Amino acid sequence: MGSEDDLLKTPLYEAHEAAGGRLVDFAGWRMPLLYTSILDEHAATRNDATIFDVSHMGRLRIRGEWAFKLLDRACTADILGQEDNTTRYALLCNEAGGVIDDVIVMRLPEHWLLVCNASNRKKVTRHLDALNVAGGFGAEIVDRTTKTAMLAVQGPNAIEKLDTFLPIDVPGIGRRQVVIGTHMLIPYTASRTGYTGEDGLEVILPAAAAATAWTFITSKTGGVTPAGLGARDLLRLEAGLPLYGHELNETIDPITAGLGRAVRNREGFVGDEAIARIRQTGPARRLVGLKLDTKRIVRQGAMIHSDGAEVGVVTSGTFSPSCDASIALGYVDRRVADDGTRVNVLLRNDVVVDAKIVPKPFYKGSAFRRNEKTVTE
Amino acid sequence: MAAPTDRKYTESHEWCKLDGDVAVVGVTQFAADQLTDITFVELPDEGTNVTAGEPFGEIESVKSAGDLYAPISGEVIAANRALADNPGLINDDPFGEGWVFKLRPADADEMDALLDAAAYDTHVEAS
Repeated sequence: MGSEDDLLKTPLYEAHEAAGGRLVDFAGWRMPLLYTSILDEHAATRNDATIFDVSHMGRLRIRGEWAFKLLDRACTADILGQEDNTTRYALLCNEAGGVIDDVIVMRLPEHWLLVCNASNRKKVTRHLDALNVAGGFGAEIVDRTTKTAMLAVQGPNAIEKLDTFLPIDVPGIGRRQVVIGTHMLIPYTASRTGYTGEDGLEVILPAAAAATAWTFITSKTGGVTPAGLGARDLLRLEAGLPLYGHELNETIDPITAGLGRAVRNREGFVGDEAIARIRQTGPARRLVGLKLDTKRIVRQGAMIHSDGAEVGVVTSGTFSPSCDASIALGYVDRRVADDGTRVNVLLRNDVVVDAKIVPKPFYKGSAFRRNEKTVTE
Repeated sequence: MAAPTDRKYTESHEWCKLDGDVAVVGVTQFAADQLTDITFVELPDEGTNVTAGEPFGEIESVKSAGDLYAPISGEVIAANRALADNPGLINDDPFGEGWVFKLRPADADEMDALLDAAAYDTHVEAS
């Protein structure tokens, strides 16, 4: 493990220290785990609005006449059908259909922006470079991560609060839409996206403007309080959202992971044949949600049993304040993957707890409630 | 924040306070802060015996889980039932309302083997 000096710092590093952030190592970055407490920051996000520094996530700008072809080849989403000022959730897969990363692809009038996991930034860049060369697409791929910052403001009051202090019509940004603009000479990209199950925006801006924007948003009366990575993981898990390295890795395909909605039927992307075969036969295992009959937490790697036989494994688990129950995500044999099925989970030290398979999300936040009709997209 | 001087400590971040012929056991502020929001505490059963240096239960938080170790040996006479509904008491008041259990010490001399507050503070700083 490298020393503290080898770790990257986001443009908000000093702001985190000033806000009392407890900084930890995450994917090669020094990031705030929490400021006051994970549960407090979770509650503030569910009931009001909070701001997360997500600058560590990879941001790749892709330009060129055939940039769309490169992305259509790399991504499972329907890039050809994607309109200007929209975002799509997509997977980048290998030839076997295993997930290289899960990403957000934004189409803007002059360029594309791909936002990927911090831990996969170098891998994703190499993958796109290789496809670019192999396909002769001639696209320009520029890593904009360290030149920019990214802030996520999330919560039922996020849109309203942002609307009072941003110069744009925030509520007018449709779900999963993205807009670009300039305010006081600062260019920004704002998308109505998030990873918490709550409504809100994710805003990309130049690194040099980040600290000012953070201070502005957090210090205004009725402003927004900071939340760290601990709360972020709790929120995404309650929202049933996958995390690379837990629910996703290069041995897991999108269908098994329940992400078929992000995979188009039209072929032409890496992994398309393998995924089509899995779609046809049905995956052997499926990702399910588990609600446990205990307040104890199960963690990644805990085995799932049914009728004395091992049927699966936990990929993420936590205690959910919003559900007042212990919850988990895990992969189970498709024969026991139906909602309502009761299973056993082995906690640490060989404690066995009962659990039930339940639908996801475990908790429906304001993003879900806001726009019911787009839920099935 | 310096550890209270009215009790003794283990290297595994439990505290032990002798009150006549009863000892009270809990976890330190440092441990509570490292764990962050505590969600579950496995309490020992009254009437059972604990052994110095051996695990007697588990503590879980949103962030991680770990074993709790008995500072001294003895018979458990009370467990803090309030922690069942409110495990966060340990985060809020680890040295007071967040106590974990009480025991009748088998051998009060075992207290001598524990760290005093200054030694514990040094131990924390070194970690």
